[in-house]
Amino acid sequence: MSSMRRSVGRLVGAVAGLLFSAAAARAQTGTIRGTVTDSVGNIPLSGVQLTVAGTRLGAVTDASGQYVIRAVPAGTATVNAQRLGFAPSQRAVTVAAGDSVVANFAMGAVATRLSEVVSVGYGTSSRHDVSSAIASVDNTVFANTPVASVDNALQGKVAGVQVLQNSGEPGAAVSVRVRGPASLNAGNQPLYVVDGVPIIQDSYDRNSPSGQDMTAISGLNPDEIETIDVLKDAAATAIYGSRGSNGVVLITTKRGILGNTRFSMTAYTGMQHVERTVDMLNAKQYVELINEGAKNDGVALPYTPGVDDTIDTDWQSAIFRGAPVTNLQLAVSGGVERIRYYASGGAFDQNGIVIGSRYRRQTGRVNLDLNATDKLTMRMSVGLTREDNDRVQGDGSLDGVVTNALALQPMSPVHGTSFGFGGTNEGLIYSNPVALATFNTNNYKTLRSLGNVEATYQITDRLRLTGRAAGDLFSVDEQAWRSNKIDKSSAQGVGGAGSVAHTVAHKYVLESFAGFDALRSAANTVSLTAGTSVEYNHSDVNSMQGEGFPTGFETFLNNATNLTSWGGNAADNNLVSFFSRANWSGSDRYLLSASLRTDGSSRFGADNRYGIFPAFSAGWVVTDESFAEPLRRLGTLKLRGSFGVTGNQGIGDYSRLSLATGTPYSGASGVAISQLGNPDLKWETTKELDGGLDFSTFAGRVSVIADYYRRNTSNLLVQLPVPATSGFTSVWTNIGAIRNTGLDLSLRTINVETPRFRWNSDLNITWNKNVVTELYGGEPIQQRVNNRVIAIVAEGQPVGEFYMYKFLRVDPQTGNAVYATANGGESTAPTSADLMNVGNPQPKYYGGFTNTMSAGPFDLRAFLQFNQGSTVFNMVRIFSDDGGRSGDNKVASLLNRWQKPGDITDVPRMSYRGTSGARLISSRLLQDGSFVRLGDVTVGYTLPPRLATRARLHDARVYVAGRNLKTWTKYDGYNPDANSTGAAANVIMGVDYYAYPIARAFTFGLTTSW
Amino acid sequence: MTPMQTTTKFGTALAAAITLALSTGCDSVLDTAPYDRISANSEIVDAATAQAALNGAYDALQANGMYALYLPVASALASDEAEWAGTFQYLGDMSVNSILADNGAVSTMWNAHYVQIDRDNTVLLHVPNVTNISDAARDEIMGQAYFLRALSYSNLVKYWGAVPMPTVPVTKPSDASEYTRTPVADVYAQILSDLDKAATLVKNTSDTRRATVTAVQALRARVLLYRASIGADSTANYQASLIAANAALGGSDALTASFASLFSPTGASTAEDIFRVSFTSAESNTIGYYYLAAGRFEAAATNAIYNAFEAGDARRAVTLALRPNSTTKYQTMKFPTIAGTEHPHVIRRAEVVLIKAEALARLNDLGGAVTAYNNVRARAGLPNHVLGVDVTTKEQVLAAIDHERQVELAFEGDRFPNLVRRGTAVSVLALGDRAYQTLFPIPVGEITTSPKLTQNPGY
Repeated sequence: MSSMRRSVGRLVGAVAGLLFSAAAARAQTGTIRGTVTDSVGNIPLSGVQLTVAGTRLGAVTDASGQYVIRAVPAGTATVNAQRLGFAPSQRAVTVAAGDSVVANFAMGAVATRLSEVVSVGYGTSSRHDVSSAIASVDNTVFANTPVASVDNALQGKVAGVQVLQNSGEPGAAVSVRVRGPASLNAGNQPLYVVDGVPIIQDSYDRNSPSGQDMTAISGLNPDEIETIDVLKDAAATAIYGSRGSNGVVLITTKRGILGNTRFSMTAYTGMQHVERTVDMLNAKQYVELINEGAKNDGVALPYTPGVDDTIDTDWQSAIFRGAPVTNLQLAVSGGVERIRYYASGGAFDQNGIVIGSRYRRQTGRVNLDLNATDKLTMRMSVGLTREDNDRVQGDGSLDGVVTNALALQPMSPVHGTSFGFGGTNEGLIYSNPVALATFNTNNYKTLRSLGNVEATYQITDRLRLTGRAAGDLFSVDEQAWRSNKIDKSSAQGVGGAGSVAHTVAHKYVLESFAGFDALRSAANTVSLTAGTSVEYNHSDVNSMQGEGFPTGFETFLNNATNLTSWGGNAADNNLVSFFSRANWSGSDRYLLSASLRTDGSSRFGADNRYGIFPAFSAGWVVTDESFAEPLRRLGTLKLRGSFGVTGNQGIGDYSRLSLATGTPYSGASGVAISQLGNPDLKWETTKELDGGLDFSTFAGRVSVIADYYRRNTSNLLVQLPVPATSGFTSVWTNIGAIRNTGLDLSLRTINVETPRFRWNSDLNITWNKNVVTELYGGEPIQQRVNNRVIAIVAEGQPVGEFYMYKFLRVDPQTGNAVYATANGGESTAPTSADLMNVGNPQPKYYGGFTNTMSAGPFDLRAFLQFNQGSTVFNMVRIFSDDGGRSGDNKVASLLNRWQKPGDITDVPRMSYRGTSGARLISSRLLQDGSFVRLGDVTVGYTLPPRLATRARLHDARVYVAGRNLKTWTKYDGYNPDANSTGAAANVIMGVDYYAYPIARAFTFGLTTSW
Repeated sequence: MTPMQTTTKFGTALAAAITLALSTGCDSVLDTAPYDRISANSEIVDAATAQAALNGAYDALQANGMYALYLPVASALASDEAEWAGTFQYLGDMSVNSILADNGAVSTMWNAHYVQIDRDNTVLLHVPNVTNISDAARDEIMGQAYFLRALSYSNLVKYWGAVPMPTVPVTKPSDASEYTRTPVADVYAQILSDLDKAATLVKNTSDTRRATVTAVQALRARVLLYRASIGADSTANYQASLIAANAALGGSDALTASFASLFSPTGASTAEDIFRVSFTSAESNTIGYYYLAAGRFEAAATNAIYNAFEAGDARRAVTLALRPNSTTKYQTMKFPTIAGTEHPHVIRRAEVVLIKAEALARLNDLGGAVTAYNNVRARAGLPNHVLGVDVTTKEQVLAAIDHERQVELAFEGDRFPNLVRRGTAVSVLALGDRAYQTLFPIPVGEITTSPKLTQNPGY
């Protein structure tokens, strides 16, 4: 209370004092200048930030390592030098009025990250003061990756963060899991926060079957991003309360820094090809095997060898192509005394490796920092994005391009009589994928403006007040055309089908918070933050589909004869929050932090709408203790511990309500209950315990950050299956619990540091164990894909454990598949009682390993991604490995089938009628999804500063890069980390169901500034 | 204005804005309501909403699990009418009578029927309490709901045997976890009770897309025929079936509408109609999409059904056509559009005539039986059967009726349940040791959520 009164007094004092200060402060100043080099090679260091302690003055070194700070008040000034990857350095300088003093710095490289500034949610902190689990990634890690989305570029780069590429389609969403899946139905994607404000991150595409969804994340241009901080433990995320339980990704965009105007350009261009294809049968093999299946089952042979196998089409090569990708980003930034600015424009253009797919994005951003007065600073950030995505229609559906390329028999020709393409006349049993890619369109366009205005008023030296208003406006226009020219396609019989969908989603956030430095003595600092936030979300979706198009008037809806479906929805979802946090740092080695957030959400009923989310964390820099003096030479050690409570509210906006919908019949309006509500719904709650250490040794050349965590999520928001005899199949309920325990570890080393050669390594690895600890009445919940039960959520099992028949072997006498029965026996005809747990889609561990080397002007960066112990269900095989029952082409591994009594093999005999047991969805179709992937290799050449200066450039670097160069895996589908059920699906993972394959890309790029 | 003043003003404005943001009533921000749906509590309050709720119950007939797809197509696949030529393996399993308990089509059928029943039960529970509605309107709505519930249960009992039988909506879904399977006899008792009520409440109108007295009697005739196959007192059932069939036929057994006209792409009404389900381009069925070679072609006509037609049977050309690029294989044309605008027949006059013929034959009036089914043959351009010449024994008459059913009602959802009713499914479909496949499995998820339900044997 007394400090409060003192602050008010100071406010009055400040108001009075300011009248004098403006005029008086100007005259007595001098200049500090100097050069910053690295201590080993004596090489000039660019990009070093220099600040004068206690002032707002500062500068950044240029390519020759030089800096100038003007208007430094006469007297003794402390100059701090900071640069990522180097130990911070400090010098005291005496400045005389009107004079110029030289202060040179030699900085030592370190692998420790204690000097990093990390975002913590409603503020920043230095890594040294952080006692919770936060991972930071700077833009060198994700820039220049030839993928649209920044979340995709994070794959394998952050400990504790698993990224699954659901699909290789340009711009497609990825699945991100921070420390394992913690929810069944309420969403497992982390919360994305850009420049302090949560953004729209959901999927709004309407024309998106199975897994190929687009989310709003692809609209963020990685080139505009300076750093990404991932808040992992509950102590870090609890400040985001009800949305913190899946982790929080804090994205900070680039901002201007004091100094001369700097122009910069990054550009790359390259080619992409499919990373690998699947081995399928050729025409001769297909005819032979299907005939063999007919013979085995006593059916007339369907094909005549030598007649029916004369055409041999490789459908995969017909749909894949070399696809260019280009990216260009121009930026200008700089700053004068009161204003700093950053403005950029970018264009990204990625053709898909499947014909017909192409993603384009144009972005613009203006970030301004204005010191309006000495007390008032303002930040304005505006990002504009336009996306234009030509998607290939319906992978995983009957109209899918990849789908049909894998499914079509090799004896059918690409070209023929159906508008130039092979069709029913040529014997195609499914739609021609080349025709699908040629005639059908599925365009997805977005416009987005993401804006944020923030003002901070320094009421007193210790108390500041920040107000922030932000808006995220996102619109999606979709237009799809399914042509009537394609034989066997869904639209052929209805005269073509055209659809449009328009979505507008907006989010407004109003926030205000105060920061108060309650204590700022040499030994102790206490800082307090408290504030409030109101968030309004609204979405409007309208869609229409028409059929019956006259020839030549295709694709647009107004030419349709019938409107066959129309729909839409509109919803509000609001959040009112209060938050506070206190940090204490004692003697620079004891850290305590506590936070509390209260959220009110419109998604829950009046009695349950408020949730309280507390968190505590503590840190102790052991090696700063006097008793640890002898240890200090070995390195520094900080121990951390935290506990916190976070929530998840990722359910439908009105799940609490029982609602009725229009159900017309025979031209008359009707109504029926469409949703059973549950007024008792409340937050899903995660309680997380984290113990970690930050350790650095060998003079800072080895740095380890490790965390053990235990997350218990309870009151799971579950769409609980109810008996269909109730007239409904599920109802939202708070039931059940999940536990994730694990260890995430990040190791950074400087292996070699000589004037001529540097070599750094960066390893991150995460072990996560996931188990469902409680369900409603212990009752397992079966999970379906394409109407087949394939996985289960059951107590004592990991989420999404595959649940199928267990394949034992092929009977050497009959060639039939033999399965395990529930009572421990064997059967060739198991019943539903014999379904059992057969595999875990979640990896035992995963991570990434990056090596960076530089020798003179050359640099090399190589990134390996790994994932071990996961199981993948290659769902394509329910057709391509069914023994010959369906007409689909088969995988080449069927060449190892059983053929005669005595054959020992694990591939059942061919069977035209499906009597071999191969038709069952069983563990036979599961494969080890472990992989090691050479993700990125980049070789660069940086123009020596001498040459750069001569070319009037600040710096310039050219590079060649390869992405997805090689994947080592036993999996024989396209991609072992495909996740066809999509980013939004939580429960079923590890299913590859005709997923668009990933691309191998080679790019050539240039980054320069002047 | 000095910078100082500006700053102070800005500070004041900022403080004011924050205060404003804070003082906005939190609860008013959090009280959101949907734009696109209404509260379920305001559903049935007056005559108009009562009628709308009944229309909602009819709407449920348009589900894939009922008349938009599976009632015809599952029967075709599970019987000898159709073979699997598509990509959904659960339909392949159905076509070779090797259904597994997690079969997607089976659970879709099960779920859709109970959705339909829940809507009937909602109408039947709430409409009696609506005050501002005329008695006539109330009776009509109640009668139609009774008819719909009887129809749904008659399908359930055909495919699954004993089934859970809720007659009031659940107050909470978990109540349904306690359900047990009601014995088949009791289900039939409930169906007949509902039909009795419906018969007194509904009026006869020309709208054959809704229940009429004729429809009630026709369904009653069919239900009694099925009931006769499971009960001891079969004679009484055949007698009652005959009475109902005669009531539905209204004094004449003649079939005046041409066979081809019954299956128009847009569902045009004919003199044959008794009860059909309405579909439009916006509320479309997917039957043709599954039956036609140009569509998914999940259910392709077999050569067995082609060969079942007698030479000269005019129905064959309406029912079947060659597949493109084939001279030996067929597709059914009874649902000729992929757009799905046909109005499938739930029950039509020809079936009632065949019910009448069978009831007569069962009651040993063989002459009457032959006379009755000759109406069906006559329309098909086939010569009349003469008792003692073409057919002599009761078994022969019944076989002739079975044959007429097969070709007359092919692909309309009759064949599989009728084979099961007649006890010939195992031999005709060569089920061997899979005789248990004549009853569908209770969906595997349903057994999990309703532990008191027992699975049908074999699954």
